[in-house]
Amino acid sequence: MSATLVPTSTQDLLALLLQEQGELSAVDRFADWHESHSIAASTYQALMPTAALKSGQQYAFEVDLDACSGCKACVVACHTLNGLEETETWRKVGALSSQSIYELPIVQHVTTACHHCVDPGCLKGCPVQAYEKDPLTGIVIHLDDQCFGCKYCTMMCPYEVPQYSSTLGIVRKCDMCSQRLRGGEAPACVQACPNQAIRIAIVDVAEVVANALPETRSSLVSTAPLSQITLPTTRYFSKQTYDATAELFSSESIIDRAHEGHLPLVVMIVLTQASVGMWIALAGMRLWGNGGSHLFAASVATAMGIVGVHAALLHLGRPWLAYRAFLGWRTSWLSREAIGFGLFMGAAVTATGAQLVLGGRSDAGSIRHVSAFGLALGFAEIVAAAVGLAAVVCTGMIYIATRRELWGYTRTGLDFGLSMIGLGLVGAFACLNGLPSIALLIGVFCSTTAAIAKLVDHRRGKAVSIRWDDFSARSGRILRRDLAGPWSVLWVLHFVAIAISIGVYCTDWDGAMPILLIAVFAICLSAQALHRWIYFASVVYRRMPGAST
Amino acid sequence: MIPTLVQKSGPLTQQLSLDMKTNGLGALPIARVPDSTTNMVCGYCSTGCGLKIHIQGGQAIDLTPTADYPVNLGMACPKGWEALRVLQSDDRATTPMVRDRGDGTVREATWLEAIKLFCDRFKSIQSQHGNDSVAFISTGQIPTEEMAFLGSLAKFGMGMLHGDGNTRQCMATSVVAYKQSFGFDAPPFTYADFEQSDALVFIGANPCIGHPILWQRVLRNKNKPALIVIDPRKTETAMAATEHLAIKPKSDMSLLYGLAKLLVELGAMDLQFIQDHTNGFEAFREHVQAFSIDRVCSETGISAEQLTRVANTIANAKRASFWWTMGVNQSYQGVRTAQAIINLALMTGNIGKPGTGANSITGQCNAMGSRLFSNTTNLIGHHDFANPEHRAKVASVLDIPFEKIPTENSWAYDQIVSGIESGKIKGLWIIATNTAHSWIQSSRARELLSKLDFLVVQDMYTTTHTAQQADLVLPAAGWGEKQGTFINSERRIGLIKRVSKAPGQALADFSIFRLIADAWGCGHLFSKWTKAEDVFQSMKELSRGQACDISGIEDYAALDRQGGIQWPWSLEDAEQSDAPEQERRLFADGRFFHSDGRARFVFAEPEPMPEPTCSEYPFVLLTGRGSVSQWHTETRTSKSPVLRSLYPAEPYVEIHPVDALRLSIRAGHQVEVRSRRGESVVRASVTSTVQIGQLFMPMHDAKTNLLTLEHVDPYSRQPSYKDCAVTIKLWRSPTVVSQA
Repeated sequence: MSATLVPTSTQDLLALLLQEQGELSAVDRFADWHESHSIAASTYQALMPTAALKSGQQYAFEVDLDACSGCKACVVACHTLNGLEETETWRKVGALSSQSIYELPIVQHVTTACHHCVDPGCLKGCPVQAYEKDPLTGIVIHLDDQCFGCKYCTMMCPYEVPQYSSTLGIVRKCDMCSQRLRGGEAPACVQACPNQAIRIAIVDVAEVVANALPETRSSLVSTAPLSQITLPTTRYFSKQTYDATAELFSSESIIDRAHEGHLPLVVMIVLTQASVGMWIALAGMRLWGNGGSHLFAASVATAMGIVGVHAALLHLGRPWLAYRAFLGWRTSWLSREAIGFGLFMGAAVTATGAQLVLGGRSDAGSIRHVSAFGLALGFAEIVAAAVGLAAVVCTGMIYIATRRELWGYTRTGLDFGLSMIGLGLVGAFACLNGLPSIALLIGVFCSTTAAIAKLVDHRRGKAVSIRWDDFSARSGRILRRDLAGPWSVLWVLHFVAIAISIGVYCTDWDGAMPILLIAVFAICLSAQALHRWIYFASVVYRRMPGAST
Repeated sequence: MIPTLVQKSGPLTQQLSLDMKTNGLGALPIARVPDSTTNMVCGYCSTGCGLKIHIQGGQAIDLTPTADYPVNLGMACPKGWEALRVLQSDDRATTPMVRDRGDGTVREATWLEAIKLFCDRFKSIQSQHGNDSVAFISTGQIPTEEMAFLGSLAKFGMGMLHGDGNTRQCMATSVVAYKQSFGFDAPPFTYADFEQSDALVFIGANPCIGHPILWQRVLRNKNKPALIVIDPRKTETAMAATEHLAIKPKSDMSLLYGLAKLLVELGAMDLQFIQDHTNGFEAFREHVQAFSIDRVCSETGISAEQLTRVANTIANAKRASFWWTMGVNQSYQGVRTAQAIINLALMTGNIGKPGTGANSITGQCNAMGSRLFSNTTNLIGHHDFANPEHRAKVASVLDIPFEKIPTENSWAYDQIVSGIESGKIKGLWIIATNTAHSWIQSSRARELLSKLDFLVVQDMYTTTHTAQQADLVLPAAGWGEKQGTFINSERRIGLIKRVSKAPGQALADFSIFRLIADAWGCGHLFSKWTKAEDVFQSMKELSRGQACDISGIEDYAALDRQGGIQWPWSLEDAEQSDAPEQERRLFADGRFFHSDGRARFVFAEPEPMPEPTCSEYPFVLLTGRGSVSQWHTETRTSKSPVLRSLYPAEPYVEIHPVDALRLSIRAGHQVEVRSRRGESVVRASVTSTVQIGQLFMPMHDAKTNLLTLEHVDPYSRQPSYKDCAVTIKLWRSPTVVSQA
């Protein structure tokens, strides 16, 4: 240090020290640059495939569970070396443990990333074809710029691999570090595992398929999703610690928390179902002889449909790319739904326009009183109802296709069907004169009954001891614990609607009818919205260890 | 613009594009390719991993583990990977802060104001109550040079008598055990020993979680070694063991003596070694006669078969090594337990050879630096305050007046805390540790801190439990923002560098000490120390002739070049060889540091736990590390969003399924754990990794130490964190609130 820098007072010294603190002098002194000194290549050679891929083969992660000590370096290395966002991690580490009082204590850490499935759910579900499965390596790659952020792949992947970023408006996922693989470098997780527990292997696709036959009900590890759904390629093996026959549980299978309620989807589903339901009611009425103009009801139904379909845009991370939604129609129920509701909007607007033009005419009767105008109106209404129904079926299939146990055909079919009919009847009753009050009663009854499965869950959730694969009871436990408030409100709404509809039925009272009827409709819509929110939030399904981290 | 239907590339794809030509660093995101790199050691645990810092535009942006560093061989744990991230945090201390005792408000202050307040208040307390009424608590987390400056400033400059470090909580037991047995605080091993053993015995150690990069070295062992784990819990390490001895808590001494007796009976002693290089074996042999198989089995709860099997494994191993961590150190009889381990190594001749040793794995990154140079328990350089020759040597090397050096030893941490209660300690200066959270029976510690006349906390963060109680907070720069050296578990001295700018006006602890010295009026005593490397040169001189002689290490550049250097490396060593071998162990010649050159067998009768379980408090509460991603009181690790996602969001207690069933506790339930000191509400984790009648809580949450009982080892004064009596029950919220 030169003499000029010797401070003469504490103040001078402080100034000097603050200045020193701001200089990164150590860097200047020691920074070096290791010229092409690639240790990595030799160190990780044993963890990389040596042979070339043959046809019918693909790359896969292989995990030696005995070597994994649960340090999670793989998670952070992947995060750092791939430059991910602050909380974004493509690899997760979960744990399996025995809860039995008889078995030896076991804790088995399980490291997991994308399983680069033979039949990827993400790819099938993607409405914009933002996924590709590399024909040579089998790696499932996400095309970030193609994605519009609908998040459907996060439901379609049983392993919850794709992750949505609200800042980017898209999902991203593990691509097995394919850029590194192309350059002869090991993926980040493989490089970073101190115990060499992760390697890249070559697997025969036929073997993956054979190991995942539905009758085996096999899964990658205990409590994980059934492999038959997407045919995951990752191989977990263990010589000692992990015993596949032992009853091992992940925390995901023991501790449940409420999931996201997806508000835009709730609005979309409820309004589109109400709209389609009303169109079905209107078409039915015309078939059954109720002629004349349905203009007001049709306008309400169409408006709800339009608002509902547009609400779905709020769910998108990049809504301006919504026009791509049809691209995946060959495999994606979401594409089909988008096409369906697109057509439905056209049909509904046309049918509403028809009411406006033709409805006022005295000879615009029902189909039974055959008249050209009646036929035209009826045809327009039936087309709207039919296209709408097809779209609602697609909505249902979106959730059924995820293969989540609580979103199966029966549950979702009944639930969506009853919701649609209930809302349609109540809506039609509220907006039209001339429907018998039994229609309101039936409508409210259907709307309430849609929640019957959840009522069963709720009841079963009371049990003290719940098996991990009793998804209904586990869902009920969430209803009782995390969703107790919304659950109570739901039933208050249902009971108010029932009380009003019974009152209307018994008294045939129509003093302040319009307001009362709009109120009932609003209550039913709110109840359905809450019900749909609960449908999403209380779902329980097989999960990969680590999925909830 | 025509809307594109299919867009396979673009700005989002570009974000994840990698640059494949990064000169040996491996592929990196294009935006994060550094323009230069520099190597330094990690600042968390004592493993001492080498990290390559990626620098872009003069600022550290990322890091990767150094591939050719002899410690970690290109690997790091999550804490290391995220070491830079935790420097960016909203709660970093950026200016000095002064608390008004009247209304509790905190205001920012200038450095000059803060330093003046520091000096005025401490001087006034000293003039009123004596120089020794102001004390300091240091840390194992700052570089050795800063510890040396702090200890010298406080004791030689400011006239303090009492100062200790948080290393009391982690390593004091090993220090005393080694000093008594070997004549010097000398962990004998090098990490290569993990790879060269035939049998590794881990006692109260869970390297899978505590030292994951050392576990890597165990798995690299090609000898298919026996892995024997002695731990009440079935930890990850116990899961991976070939033999797990799930002993009752605090029965390890009985077990180790029982093993010694069996080894004698099996004739597994190295009699030549015992005769040539040790003292006291006969008395020890006599002592262990009382530890019959029956007695040991009843005290430890393990079977006779397992006991004899383990004794046979150790007897038959060509190279057996013994490794311990906090399960031994944090015990009211830790020193004698550690020595029971040392005795096994000595009697079987398993020391000084590859793959052997009685090896204490250190906790903090620089606990070893603290042990040698902090000027707290020992006079700087592992000297003795009571020894006039040592004082003269230090006075001469440091050019400090002889009479400035205290002639008495300092109080230990627990005595300083109790000194507040007795009114002896009125002012306290805490540097880079979190007493209000980490000190055992923390509610008492917090209450006592509030009784001080003046509490100064020097820390990176303003939100630590202790900083929240401080009258004055001094904003410190952290690892990565300053220079110096750390000494790791295997005695390797590694370098840290200033690669990142400290926020606001935060200063390196070194600079803060310079400021204080200047303002206190003792700056002239330390005028030769204007940068960390000046202190390093003084340390070299102080170490001359000591077991930890490092006089042969030229300078920082030499440390950087060699990938760290293990002590000892004396001038004589350096003259004989150009560069030190990368992995060196002690005692190859069988010469120990006692004046007669012999190691000693030290032993005692095991004592029962001071707070046994009873009908009201029927569980033993064990504490320890929760996950790899958490460090101590989480002041740093909780600042990384990724690390936070890697451990449970809420504090928890582990309970055996049988106990849980009996008490109607299920996984995820909220439970109340209560001791005679306090109660904590946490989540239940039901797992058979703990035994029936035992509970385990990670130490990282402040709720745990509300329960623990303050008691210490009489020799090392290290607190015993892992044995207090508690009870547990389902927690019902006192007011009805929804658990949303």
